[in-house]
Amino acid sequence: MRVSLKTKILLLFTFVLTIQGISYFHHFYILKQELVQRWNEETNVLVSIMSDKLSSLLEEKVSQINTLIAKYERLGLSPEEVLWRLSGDIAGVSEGAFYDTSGRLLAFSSRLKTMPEFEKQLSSLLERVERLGYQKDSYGELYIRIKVPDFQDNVFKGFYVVSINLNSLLEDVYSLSFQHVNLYLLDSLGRTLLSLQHTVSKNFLRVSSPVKGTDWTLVIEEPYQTVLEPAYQFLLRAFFFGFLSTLGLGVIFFLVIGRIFKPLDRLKESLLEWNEKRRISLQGSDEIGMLSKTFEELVNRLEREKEVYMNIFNGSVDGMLLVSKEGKIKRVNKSFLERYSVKEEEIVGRDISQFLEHGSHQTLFIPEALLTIGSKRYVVNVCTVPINVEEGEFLLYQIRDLTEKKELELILYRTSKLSLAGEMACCMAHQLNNPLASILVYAEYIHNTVQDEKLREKAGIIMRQALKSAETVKKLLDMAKVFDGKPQEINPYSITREVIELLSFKARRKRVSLEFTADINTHAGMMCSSWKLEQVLINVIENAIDASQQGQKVEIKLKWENSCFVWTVRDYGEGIPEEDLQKVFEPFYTTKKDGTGLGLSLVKRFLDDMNGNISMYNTQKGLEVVISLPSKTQC
Amino acid sequence: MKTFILFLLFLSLLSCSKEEKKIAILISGEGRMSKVGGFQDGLRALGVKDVNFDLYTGDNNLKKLEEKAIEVINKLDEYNMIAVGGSIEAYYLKKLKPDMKKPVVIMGGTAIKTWGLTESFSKPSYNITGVDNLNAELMEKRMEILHKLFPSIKKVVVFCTPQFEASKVATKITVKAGERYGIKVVPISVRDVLDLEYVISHMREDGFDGIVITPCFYTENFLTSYILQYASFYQLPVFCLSPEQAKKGCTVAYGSSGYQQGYQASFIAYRLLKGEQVKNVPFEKVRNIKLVVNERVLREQGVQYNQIALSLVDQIIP
Repeated sequence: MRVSLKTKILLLFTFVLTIQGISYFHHFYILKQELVQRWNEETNVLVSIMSDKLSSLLEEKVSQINTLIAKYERLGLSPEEVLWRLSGDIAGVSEGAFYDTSGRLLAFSSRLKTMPEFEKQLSSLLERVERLGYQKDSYGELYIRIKVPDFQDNVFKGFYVVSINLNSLLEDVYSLSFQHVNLYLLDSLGRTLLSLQHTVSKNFLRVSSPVKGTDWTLVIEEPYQTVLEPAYQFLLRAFFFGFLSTLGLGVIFFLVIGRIFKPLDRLKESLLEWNEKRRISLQGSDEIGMLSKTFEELVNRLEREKEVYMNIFNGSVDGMLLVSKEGKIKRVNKSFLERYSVKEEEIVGRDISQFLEHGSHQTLFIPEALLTIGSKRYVVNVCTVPINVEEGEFLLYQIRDLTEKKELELILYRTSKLSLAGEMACCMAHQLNNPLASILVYAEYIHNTVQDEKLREKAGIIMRQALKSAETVKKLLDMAKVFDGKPQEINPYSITREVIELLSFKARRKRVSLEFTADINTHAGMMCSSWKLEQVLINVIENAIDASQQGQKVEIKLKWENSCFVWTVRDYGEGIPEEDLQKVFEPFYTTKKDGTGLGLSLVKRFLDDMNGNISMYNTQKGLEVVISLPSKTQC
Repeated sequence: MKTFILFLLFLSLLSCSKEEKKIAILISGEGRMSKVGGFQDGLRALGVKDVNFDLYTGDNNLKKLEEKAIEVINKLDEYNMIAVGGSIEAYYLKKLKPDMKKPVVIMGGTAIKTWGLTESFSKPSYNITGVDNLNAELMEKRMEILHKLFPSIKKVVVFCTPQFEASKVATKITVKAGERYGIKVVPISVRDVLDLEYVISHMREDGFDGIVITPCFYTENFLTSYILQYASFYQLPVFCLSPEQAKKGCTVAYGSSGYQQGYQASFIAYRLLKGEQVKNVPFEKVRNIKLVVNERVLREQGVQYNQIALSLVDQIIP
């Protein structure tokens, strides 16, 4: 899986946040434990101090009572007056009573009431300080009644019973404690004597300490939630400030990352779209901006280089094909398209094997290969070079066309043959000229001397044929010449008629009929060599006669088409095998038993000399030869 | 960006600010100022220093007191607590806002149940608690002390405010206690200073031997000074409610000082400021009750008194 750098940074940021969160909760957990432990330690100390203070306050009260009783008795105050003074002098003491040695109530005094409630008879007569019991008033204030024996000059006089307000004592103690704690004073049975603060909670932390000199227990409890408040506060603040700082950092981070990634993104877009020439101006003067500009320069350079390569590719004289590893043609250059007259879409996307027999993915040189474009075939040499470009591995096919070279070679070959034929013809002509002269002389002599008409007629025929042969020999000698004279104005119709007439004897003898139709102005003329045209027509029509069977016909048509005179000679013979159609114009190639193979090669040469053209087609029955000649210089 | 950083700094400053407590103090007049002093000193002694006090005073005028009570209620959200000088101030607050959410501490109130300020002293209701100065309840004790100190006094007058139930209750207790000690107690209601002068100037002719002050709005405020002035002129002993009044010219006073009441109330306020609920902070009885005699006034008035009974006196003002 590919993860972008931006995603990685985002993941890193999330990871840091997670670590931060985990550390918060870890610290929170540790803090909770420490808070509970610290609370236990501190509160244990505190409750111990508070219980000690409560104990000392109580002892102090008893001591004060003893001291003041002794003091006021020495002043001669009555027990009632002593009690009044005690309630005035000692904070938290509001009333008291005096009992005689047998425990009978003798006197009482109160700062609040005219008739305080005291027992008539004491239950305990032990001569020591004792706690007699507790009293609670309508305000919920708790009083403890302390019995203090009264000795005057070591003589036991009775008991003072004094009510001490425990609330005021506990309030003095409570001021030592801290917020939110519940303070309880329990008796020996664990019952609550007094309580201060009533925080309601389900879970409390609790510590206790016995109050010295009493059977009381002082208890401090505090809601678990309150003890852990700093931890929760920490968590809340940590979360709050963590969130804020993270948000702040995130914004800064986002801006910084944005500054970094924005040019990179633009660079990426630029790189992705550079092929489509959509240039994006890269901004920024910092390192990223410089980097982007450097990349842009690089892209520009690559683009220029690509342009150079494309120019080379397209401007190459040879055909160039860029072929993928799978053999698919990806690109073709202009030379190829122009040379083989095809459109790009007919080539690109096709398999190379459709066009070339040899396909390979290795460096290869094929001197001669056949390139097939549509129905046409071309001889090419192929050179392949493997190359790596941005899309992958390719083969570059350099295709050099050898067709023209081959044609030239063929022409040269054919010319060499004709030149041989010409030399032979010249030789033969020189050799034939003398016998023909003798034949002509003797034939003329016979014609002039013999009285017999039949002989004279036959001598005349011999004389004319000999003259004709001499003319032919002369023409052969002409053919051997490089220059065959200037073209002259001729009438193609007349020439055609003459040729047909000339060959009509041979046709009749073979019982082949010659049908001539002309679709031209019979007076129309053209510029060319009449002898060559005659030779062309003779050869073609003679071949048609030769190819025909008895009773068949040879159709000769002459028409005017595209500024050319066009002869169509059609026979109804067996035609020529397709594979031999191209060979028939080669010298000494013949399908006839006694043929020389020179006829059509001469035809081809003469027509080439006259800028004419010849083509052959097998029809359903027979062969059709089409000859075209331009009316003046070319068609 | 700069705005964002400033916002963060602002938040951090907010987080550093410490919460300050604020207490509204509502009193009927300057007579309650000693309570306020005791209350503030008590809180300071308990270590509560970060408190601001807003004082609202009725200037001894019931109508103005009610206006001030309304003002306090309108600003209730600003305060953590309301401290009131007595029962009447608490009464006005309760009347104006029965569902009081902020704790109300009475810095020494009289006849608290009679005023309807709570149903139970140990479990306060209506979000009101404080110190009960027992001024009504102590009337019985005062009559006892009066009898002990001045055995010759047989007929006294008490000034009361009949429209206030608490004043009536205190008067009733006084009358009943007087009967026990052979003292005829005559309650008199005065409307203004002229009324007061008329009553006091004819007291001797009418056989009255002294004046007993009962807790009511007028006696605790401006009227006391007039009473003391006329009583001194006509040489009539006056029995007052608090040691401060003895210092002002009362012959005898029995009760707790306003300062002590305020000081005691500060501990209740302290508990409430710490977060305790009012229902869990019971009313407290006043704890420091003193018998004070103004020796100069006693001598000037020439009233016969029991020398032996002077031993009961906690403080003699020379």
